[in-house]
Amino acid sequence: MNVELVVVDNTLREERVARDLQRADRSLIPVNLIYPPNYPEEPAILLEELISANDALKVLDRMEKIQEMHSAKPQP
Amino acid sequence: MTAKPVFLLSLVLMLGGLFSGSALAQPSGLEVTQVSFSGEFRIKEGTRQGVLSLTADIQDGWHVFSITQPPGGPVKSQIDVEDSPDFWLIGNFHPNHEPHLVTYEYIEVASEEHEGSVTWSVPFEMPDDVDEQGLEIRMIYSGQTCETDGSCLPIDDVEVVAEFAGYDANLVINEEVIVESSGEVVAAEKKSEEGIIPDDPELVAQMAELYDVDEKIQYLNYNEMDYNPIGSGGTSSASNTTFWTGMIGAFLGGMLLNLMPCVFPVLGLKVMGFVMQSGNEASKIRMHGLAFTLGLVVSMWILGGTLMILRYGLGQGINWGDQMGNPYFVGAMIVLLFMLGLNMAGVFEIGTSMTSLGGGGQQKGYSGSFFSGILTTLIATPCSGPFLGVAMSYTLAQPIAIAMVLFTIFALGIAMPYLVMSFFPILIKMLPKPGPWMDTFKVLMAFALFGTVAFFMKVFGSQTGAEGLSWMVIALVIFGLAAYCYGKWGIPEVKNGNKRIAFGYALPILIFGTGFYLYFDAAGYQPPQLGSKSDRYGLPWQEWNPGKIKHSLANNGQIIWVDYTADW
Repeated sequence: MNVELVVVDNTLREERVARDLQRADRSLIPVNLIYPPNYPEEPAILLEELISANDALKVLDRMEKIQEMHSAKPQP
Repeated sequence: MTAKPVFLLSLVLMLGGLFSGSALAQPSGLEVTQVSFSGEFRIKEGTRQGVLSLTADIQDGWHVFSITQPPGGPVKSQIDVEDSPDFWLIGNFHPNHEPHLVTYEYIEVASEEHEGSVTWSVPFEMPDDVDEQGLEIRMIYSGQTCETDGSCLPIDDVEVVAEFAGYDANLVINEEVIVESSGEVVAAEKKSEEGIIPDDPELVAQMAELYDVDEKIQYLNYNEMDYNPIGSGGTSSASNTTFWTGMIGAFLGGMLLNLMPCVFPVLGLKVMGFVMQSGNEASKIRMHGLAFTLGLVVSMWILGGTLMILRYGLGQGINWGDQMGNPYFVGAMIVLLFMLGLNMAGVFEIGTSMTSLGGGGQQKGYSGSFFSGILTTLIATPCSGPFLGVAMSYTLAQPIAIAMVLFTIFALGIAMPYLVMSFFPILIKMLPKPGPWMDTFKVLMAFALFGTVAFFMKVFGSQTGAEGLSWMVIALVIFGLAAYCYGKWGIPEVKNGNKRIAFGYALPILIFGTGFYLYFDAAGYQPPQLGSKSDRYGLPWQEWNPGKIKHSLANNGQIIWVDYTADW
């Protein structure tokens, strides 16, 4: 499974990050958002605060299924 | 000698960097035949900018080390360019190809090796009146070359003179320039020092065109995932949170925050305070609990009120805990916690000592309880815990009056465990009786405070860089000295009044002032680069830019994991 990893570093409290967080109705970090390859057809999954490895695996499992379905679908 | 002992010897020498000046080393200045060097520079046509290059041609079976080779390994390559009024560098040296990473059992860090040929390049600029065709740029190379599984030789101060090699219309002048082996200069995609991969500025501009800050992200909360199978089209939104769920979230979030590591030292202080109160009247214990709660609530009102006024009154896009983004605030927290730690470690005693902070003084000490409530708010704000993400996000989106109610509930949530204990003294009786163990506990809590200081130092270091951090450490040493002087001579046991005033008050104030100046200076430093944490697992995290997600989805068709994080 190919996953692109993007880090949004808010150590210096940037306003652009605060505004981007608002797009997901959040003000507080940590926040983890996982986008499926066919977003916005399928929504992203929002993980918050304390997460376990199982949570992460569960989300990735869902994403993998979406990816498989997405790849199997004929692309325009 | 077998190959392995020779190799081990090489490694030992490499690790210690013992070649220069050592009896085992080759004499300085001895020519190394295994590596030959050459230099040149090209000028971008029609400009006063160019690229300076130094090439090392390495004999087969030998290698040199990268210019970024971390300490603890072999000697890195170093290129110094002789200063001249005829040009100035406008970037750093970069190699034309990444080094091979080789790990040895005997070295902690990976060895970064270049074989064959490597060219390091750096962009530079010249004044208008300099004739590039007659210009000579002198570089000094030093480093080390090693034979694969064999011996190593030092390369000391080899002078390389670069001469004009022609004009090039396609030369790319960029701080990240890289020269490919063909000689063509291209913009490099390189990892930043922290291990985060930044995007090319042109790509960042393309991404920004795709970005719409008002476009809501379609997301599902993790806990709603099971009820929204793939294809159901379900999404979550902030409107799912009501005033009541927000209030419950704020209260529970506040209570659970007491268990988070950042608030833990305060928990220790309070436990200690309660132990000391065990012999007190029930009414006094209640008053301490109320004073603590009041301190917490009042400081929360001030903080929350200021935040809401800035947010809505002045239209500032700030969030909960934003003060942690300010190095002056973080530095002040460090100083405060450090002084409290010294106080608890017994370096000095003061009115707001451990006893009164905990709220269990023999005297009234209600101000100490009130102060510990304020301290709890200050420490708690950058922390996050269960329920808080949703609750705080909801709170900040509400009108000021509702938000203030929710801030109050949040403060009461934090205070609740202490309030319950102070109203039910029977619970305090369940704690161990006061005794000598408290001295040990007190010192242990000092270490807990120092641990929190260390946590904040990491944040401070990210904000101010190594320079700011090192000045802050010096400031702390000076604060410590001031505390010691006060603890030694500023106490009533020093009967000589003049001595007490001179050494117990004036001197500590003077020293403290010096420390304060250094703290203030340290907080003003900027980090060399807006960096972030490297991934300990070596995962290739990319830097976020507005529009990056849309761009990646459109171009790469992959799952994207976005981690919003910070060093604090």
